[in-house]
Amino acid sequence: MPLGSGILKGFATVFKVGARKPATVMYPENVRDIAYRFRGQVGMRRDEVANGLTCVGCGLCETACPNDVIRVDTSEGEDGTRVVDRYLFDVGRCVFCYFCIEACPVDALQRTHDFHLVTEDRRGLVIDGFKMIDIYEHDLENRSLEDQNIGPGTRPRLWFGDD
Amino acid sequence: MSVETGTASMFGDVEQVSENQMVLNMGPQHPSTHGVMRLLIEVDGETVTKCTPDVGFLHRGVEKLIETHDYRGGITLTDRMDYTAGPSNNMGYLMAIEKLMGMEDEIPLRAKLIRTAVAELSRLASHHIWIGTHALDIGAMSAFLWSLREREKILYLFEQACGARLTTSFMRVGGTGPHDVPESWVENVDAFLDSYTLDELNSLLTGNEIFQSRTRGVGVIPAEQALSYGLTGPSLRGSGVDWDLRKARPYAAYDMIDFEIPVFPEGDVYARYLVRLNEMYQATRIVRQCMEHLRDLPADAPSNADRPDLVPPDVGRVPFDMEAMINHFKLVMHGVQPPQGEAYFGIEGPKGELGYYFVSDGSGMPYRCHVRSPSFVNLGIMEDAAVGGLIADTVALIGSIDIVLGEVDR
Ligand code: SF4
Ligand code: SF4
Repeated sequence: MPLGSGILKGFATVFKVGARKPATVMYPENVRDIAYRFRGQVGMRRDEVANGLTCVGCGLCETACPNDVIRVDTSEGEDGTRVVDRYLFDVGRCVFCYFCIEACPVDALQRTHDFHLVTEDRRGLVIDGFKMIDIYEHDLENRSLEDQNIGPGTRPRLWFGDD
Repeated sequence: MSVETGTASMFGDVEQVSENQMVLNMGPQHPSTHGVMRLLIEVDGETVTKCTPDVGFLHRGVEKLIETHDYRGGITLTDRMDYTAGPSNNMGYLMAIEKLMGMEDEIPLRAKLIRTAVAELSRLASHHIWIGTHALDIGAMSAFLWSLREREKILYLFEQACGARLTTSFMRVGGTGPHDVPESWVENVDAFLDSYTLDELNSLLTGNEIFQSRTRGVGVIPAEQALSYGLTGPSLRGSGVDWDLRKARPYAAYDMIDFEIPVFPEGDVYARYLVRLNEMYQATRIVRQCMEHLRDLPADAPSNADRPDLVPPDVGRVPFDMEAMINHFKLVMHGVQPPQGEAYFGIEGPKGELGYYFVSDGSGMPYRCHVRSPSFVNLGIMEDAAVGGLIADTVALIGSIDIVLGEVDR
């Protein structure tokens, strides 16, 4: 093989590939496809009956989380049930492993595709349960419904028969 | 008196033997060190006479952190070590725990196949990063961009399977965990393999005369030296030693898959390049076979071991079924609790033998965890292999042993 033929072969490939459409996605204008299972900011489902947090304050998500992201403060209500006083979520510590969602026994915590987590202030990273409800509902609006059921482990779990 | 830093004394007394001698600091932010590593290079003119890697800039104490988490929480830490091949790290970690619990035989075939396929896909992704950055160090820009383009497709497959591209935290002790791969995943992987080609990179680099003159005969590591330094993975096979854990001690589903181990005897940078390039071809073969086997499995094949004490019940049942609820709470609160003992398990990661060593005291957290990270062990060869070469050859050599600083420093 004459010297330089390897380089010329490379050049030929470069011209061939250069003629193709670029694979780049111009981000702020266009967003690449996001798979259904994408793990974004953890959201929370609204309790339809009480119009509040679905969370029952069991504390499993607190235990399951490897990074102490979640803090659930509970107290005893008038009828002896457990009442969630405050649900805090520190986005700055979260690694989006979704162990909390796996742990939640009542499906209060939900997957969202929200990855716009920027705040101007560090304190803005700590959000509460109601903000998580907003995030979840906003995310649901912007998501088509049919891709919600594409395999085991990702079906929407609804309990107390509210479907 | 001048301030003496700790690392300066690593060099001992630098004796002035010629006028051209000087000490060169490469890094910690040098682009070709692939992260934050510092190389103290003693040069005589252009020739390297001594080379000392200085590591630890990225130390996060992952091993210690794993000891402060339960076994499940440690999964999230493992994919932050070798972030170019997260699923491989998850897999090694979990298989070591499974060995500690003596349940290797209980892993169902479906989980094994998925693990194998995902590990090979991560090998592809990791080698893409390597081929791109290595070529970039040597001066080829296109290879880098094309590599990342292909890698993006692989990462998208990870995202479809588990939800994250890099920090996958995929799979759990006993199988795939609550998230089996989606039904469409097998077709997506097949479609990816159909559209995937390495020939572009191959034609760009393999025959290229400039690339060859930068890599042939450079950074030669003889086989005995490679063995005595404990090199593993492609860096060892590039020195002509046929050792691969996938063949030597088959784990997961590798014993039912037909593939070859590329070995090249020259021991130079080019040989290691060829090993990795051929490994990428083999990886696509392995993934394709895994997909065929997966398709042959019955639709209801289990993907988790039949161990209620390890694998959470079906999440849909939890609110309605008292036993499931109790089991679920027990598992989340206490997690996996291996019996007292110790276990080491190594898998063939993209960079070499990736081993995890655990000592368990019977509680839910490991008493001791140690990671045998291939990048760290392989980096030791720099001291010998760089000597006698030029400074530019050192750059090619670092690229060819394929280190990831997240794994070196842990
Ligand atoms: S996603 Fe992981 S890190 Fe984030 S809150 Fe849930 S368990 Fe914690
Ligand atoms: S696991 Fe679910 S129900 Fe329990 S405290 Fe967390 S969010 Fe609330």
